[in-house]
Amino acid sequence: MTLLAAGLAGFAVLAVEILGVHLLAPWFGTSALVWSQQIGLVLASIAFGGWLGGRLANRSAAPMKAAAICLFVGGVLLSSGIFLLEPFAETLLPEGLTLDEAAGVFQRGAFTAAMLFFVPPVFMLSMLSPLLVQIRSAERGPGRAAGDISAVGTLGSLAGVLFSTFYAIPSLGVRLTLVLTCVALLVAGALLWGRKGLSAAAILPLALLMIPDPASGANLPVGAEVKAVADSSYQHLRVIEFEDGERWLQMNEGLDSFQSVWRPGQVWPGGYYDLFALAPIYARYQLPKDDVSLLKTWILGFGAGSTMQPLMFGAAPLALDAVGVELDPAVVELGNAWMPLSAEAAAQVEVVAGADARSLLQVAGDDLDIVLLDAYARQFEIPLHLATQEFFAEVYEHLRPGGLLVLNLGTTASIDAEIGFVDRIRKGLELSFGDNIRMHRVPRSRNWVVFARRDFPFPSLHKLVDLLPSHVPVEVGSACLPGQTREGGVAKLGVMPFSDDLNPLLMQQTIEWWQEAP
Amino acid sequence: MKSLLLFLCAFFAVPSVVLAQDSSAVPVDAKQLLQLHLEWEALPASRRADELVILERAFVYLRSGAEGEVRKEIINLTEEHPDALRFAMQADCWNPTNFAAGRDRSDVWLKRFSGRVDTETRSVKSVQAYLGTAETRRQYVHDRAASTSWYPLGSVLLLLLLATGAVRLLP
Repeated sequence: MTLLAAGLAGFAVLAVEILGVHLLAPWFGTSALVWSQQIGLVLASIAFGGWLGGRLANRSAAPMKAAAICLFVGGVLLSSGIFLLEPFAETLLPEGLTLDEAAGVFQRGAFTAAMLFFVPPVFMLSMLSPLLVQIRSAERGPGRAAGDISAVGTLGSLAGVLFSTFYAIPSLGVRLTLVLTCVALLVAGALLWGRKGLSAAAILPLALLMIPDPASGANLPVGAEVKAVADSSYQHLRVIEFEDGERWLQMNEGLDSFQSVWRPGQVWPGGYYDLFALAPIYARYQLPKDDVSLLKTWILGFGAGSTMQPLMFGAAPLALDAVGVELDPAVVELGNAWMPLSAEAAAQVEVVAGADARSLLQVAGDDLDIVLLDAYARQFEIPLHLATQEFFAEVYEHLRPGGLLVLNLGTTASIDAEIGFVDRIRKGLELSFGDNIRMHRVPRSRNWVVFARRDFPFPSLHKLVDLLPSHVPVEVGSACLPGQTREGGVAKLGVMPFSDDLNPLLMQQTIEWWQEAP
Repeated sequence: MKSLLLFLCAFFAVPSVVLAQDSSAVPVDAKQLLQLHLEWEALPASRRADELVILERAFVYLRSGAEGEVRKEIINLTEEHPDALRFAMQADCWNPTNFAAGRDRSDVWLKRFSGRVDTETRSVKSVQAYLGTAETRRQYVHDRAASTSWYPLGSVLLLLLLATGAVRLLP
């Protein structure tokens, strides 16, 4: 029984660590800050619980009873946490919160939520180990007892990590998994305690499942309705729909952000997506017109395919021979169900789900026309390994002469900001692409769309007017005006690119996000 | 960022001076906008410096969201000019870091130019209301965040209470 209790406690602690962040995600996001806080607080409570458990073990007259109570109370506290998180978040979060307002509220809220709802059960469960060692050492001696409990506890933790990530989240769901963990703790605790009747308390967490999941409506934009919800190993996802039929695929805390956008019957998704129509025009400039009929395009961070229509419009009369890479298969599934591509678009792209963009790019040919990067790990965090000079050099090698790398960069910095991460990314591009870089500011937003071309220049504004087809949204033209455009490499001295070895991008983005918050 | 931070603001009525021009030449797509821009750039310097041309350009850029171009144009007009002030105010709506400046401009405009046509005054007031609401909103979020500043320490104290209870009550 001691080993079982140790394994169960180890399992529960890691399940809380992993699943806790997923439970927080719809309310507070899953930024690096939230993850670090969760891991740090869980580790601190393991340490504190272990220390206090050791002191208790030395003086306890009934260590088995004490251990049983720790298990049982851990289950009660975890159940309470699952139930109380939503009202706590609703009280804390202002209605209609936007991403640029959220920094302080999220950080404080995530910390407090973790302290109130995850740290107490972990603390109680961590008191178990010394008590179990005390119990077991009577038969096996302290050394062997400590080794046994440590080993089984760690195996339980390993099971907790693997089960949570690869089965619980995608198949069972976050809430159900945590509820079942509570049930196991309550039943095991009651049995160890010798009070079988207390096992009935397991009904309480099960009753939680009768309540509709409040997380699906967390941070819902005004006027939107939730159409679908999914949890993947990577993130919490949902599809929302507005009155005019527009749909957004959102991740984690949602707010006013989207992962993909879909407008029924319309070519142009709006915002930075529309600027992707420039990519085929730039990629074909000064190249022979009649040597290709297809543009080989890789889209890294495919999402639900919002990039396709603008790309196709800009490429016409050529078609695309596109590969869309999306890390999270759940995104592709939701996209297919709720934001389907047109038949014409679907015929021009092969979607590869479940693969990392940079890894998969290694198998791409070296004659690509366009590589389009629109990948975000969380709301505003560009994956570190997709923002380095080494990655840009790899992309450069996969492009044919004249080929184009396109990046969507979201920033919290104002248009006249000093050195921010945008300049550092530009510097990384410059090392491979030289001065063949052009950045367009997306109108009425803080996004830049950056184009970097291999070995060929960009068209002048006069030439661009000739090349642009009609019926491209006026905002795309606005983005091409000189006041909205930056050309070439970084003029400022002392700007360092991000590298695989040294990459403070996450810290820099987080700082910029904090600085903009009220 | 996968967020579309669109700062939608009450849009200005066409300035009365521009109405005297052929304002039906507002471009409907990117190609037209860029063609118009190049036509303007090709004008002689004296024509480009003409106030009506500046206003027309600024208005067209404003409609198409080209903040950088708007500010470049109106920099040639002093802030004593009612339309320059209005255009700057509109551009300020697109970035929360400029909301306070936009609000100040609207106050100045209403003090100096409230005798202008009703449509202009109404639109400035609606922009002022928008910026005021936005400012109030940011203050509200700030105050909410500030009111929770004790939460982390409070939760630590609660945990210590739990730990004390555990030590005292566990057998």
